[in-house]
Amino acid sequence: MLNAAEWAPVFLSFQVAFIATLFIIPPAIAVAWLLSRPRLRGRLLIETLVTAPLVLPPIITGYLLLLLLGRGGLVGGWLHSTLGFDIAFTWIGAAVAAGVLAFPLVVRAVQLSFESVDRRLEGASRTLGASPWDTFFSVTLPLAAPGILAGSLLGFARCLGEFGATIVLAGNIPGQTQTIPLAVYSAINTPGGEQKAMFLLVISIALSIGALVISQLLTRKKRRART
Amino acid sequence: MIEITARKRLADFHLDVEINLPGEPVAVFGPSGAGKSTLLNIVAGLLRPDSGRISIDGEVLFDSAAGIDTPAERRGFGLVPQEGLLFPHRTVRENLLYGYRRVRGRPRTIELNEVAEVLEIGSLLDRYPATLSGGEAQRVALGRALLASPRLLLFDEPLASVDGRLKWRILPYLKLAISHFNLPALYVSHDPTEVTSIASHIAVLHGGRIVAAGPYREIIDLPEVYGIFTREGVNNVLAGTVDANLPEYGYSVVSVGEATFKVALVDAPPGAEIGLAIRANEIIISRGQPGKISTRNVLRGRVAGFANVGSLILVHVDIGCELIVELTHGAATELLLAEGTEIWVLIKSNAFQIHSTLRPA
Repeated sequence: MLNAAEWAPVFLSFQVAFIATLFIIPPAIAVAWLLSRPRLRGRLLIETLVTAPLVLPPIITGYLLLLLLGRGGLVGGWLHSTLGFDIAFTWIGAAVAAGVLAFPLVVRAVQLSFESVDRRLEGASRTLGASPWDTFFSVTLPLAAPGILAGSLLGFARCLGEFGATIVLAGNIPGQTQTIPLAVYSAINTPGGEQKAMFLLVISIALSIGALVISQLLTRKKRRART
Repeated sequence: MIEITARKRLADFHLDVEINLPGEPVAVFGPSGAGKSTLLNIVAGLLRPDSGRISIDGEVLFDSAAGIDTPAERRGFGLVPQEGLLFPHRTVRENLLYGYRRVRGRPRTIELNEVAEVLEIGSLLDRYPATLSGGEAQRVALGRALLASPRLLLFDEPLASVDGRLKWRILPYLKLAISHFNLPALYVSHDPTEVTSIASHIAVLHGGRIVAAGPYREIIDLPEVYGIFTREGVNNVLAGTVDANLPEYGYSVVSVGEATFKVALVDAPPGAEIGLAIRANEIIISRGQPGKISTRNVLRGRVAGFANVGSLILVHVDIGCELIVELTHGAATELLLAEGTEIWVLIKSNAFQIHSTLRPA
């Protein structure tokens, strides 16, 4: 059996991925809803900004985040001097990196589920006395919910696998910022680390595939319910 | 009184409409692409016209000049959309109460029990929309609109997605609801039978403009209107009562007003009210009484009026009920028809379209 230190990356990955996903869901819903409206000004700008982490090399995104959130950065410096709080090289940094990288994926999935809601249902809701906000919460959001859940699981799986940006922003500190991918990287580079690498590999595959399968099942169920 | 003027330019189409609704239902008839749904969405507040004015009993809901635009949720107009558009994640009861719970600033005038009774949907309350038939879904959609205690009912082709037979089972519910709750209604459809059954006042929308408005009997004489109605199907719509079913003869006897018709056997017991429709060009006029003839309906009557609709003549005849008959100029000239001329009208029993039960016996 493996000892607690060897399980640490697994628990940390879970913690990082869970918190990261939790925090990106509300803004992802807001951005996805905006993008699902047919008449939106500044669509190109929003879409480009949101999608950028998907096409930029993760290490570049990580470096940009470090420049911004490191102690010498605009936001990171302010947080350190006023709250004594650090993002870079902490598990929170790992969560930020994972969240930023997973964000476009979640937005895409949620946007699709918003677009699949019949706009005429929203019109019907309005004529029945519901304000646009009321309509959003009582019609649009519940109908998009399975897609939002599926998108969140997809984001969670993406967070579990985040490597490039994490290692730059959070470093690779065992027990603090060393998530599964970082631990695998270290194990591969350590003589005699094959067994540990193999263990983490199996866990990693099980988690990611598990999240993906549940996400797919949710999407399929939604599709069936509508026909 | 509801007054609507609206102009809206869309990509390939220009709507320019002025229409006034008295307290009674008004039907807007027009072929697809005439702008019916655009008009209805503008009235409902879901689409903003480029310019115009909408008021109900003096209260202005939209006025482009004064910068007034009351949002849809505060107009108090109940919309019955095509395909029902029930909320799929809510039960029938929750759907029905959706607008009811959101009535604000006005008294609730309509209650669930009453609606469930009138529309006969009491047994569906705990079901989900996906399990309803098209007809049931449309009745629930109407109930949902009614329970919002609307000041005006808007029907957007409510029967367009319901197949033929079923249509004539739902139409009576629509008529009943409009009269029972005594609401003004704007009913748009491309189906001549629907519009003539729902409203006595019909506005004809064509190419984004109202080309005629008034009682059917008057507007049908306009060549353009007649053309549109004819392209969309029938032009004589009659409400009758089954007198007898005679399987041994192969027909049923149905009375309409003072007239009695023999029609193909109907699936309704004596006493039932049914709808009959017949095309004006399937009716024959004879100046003399025909001898032995296979045509089952030979009715004596008089010419009540004429109208010139392009290359054809419309003859209004009175045979105990009013019918419109389409003749060529040649036929009309040879028959020497004039107002009051005695004529015989010939109709084959199978020429009638039978619209099932309007109300059970």
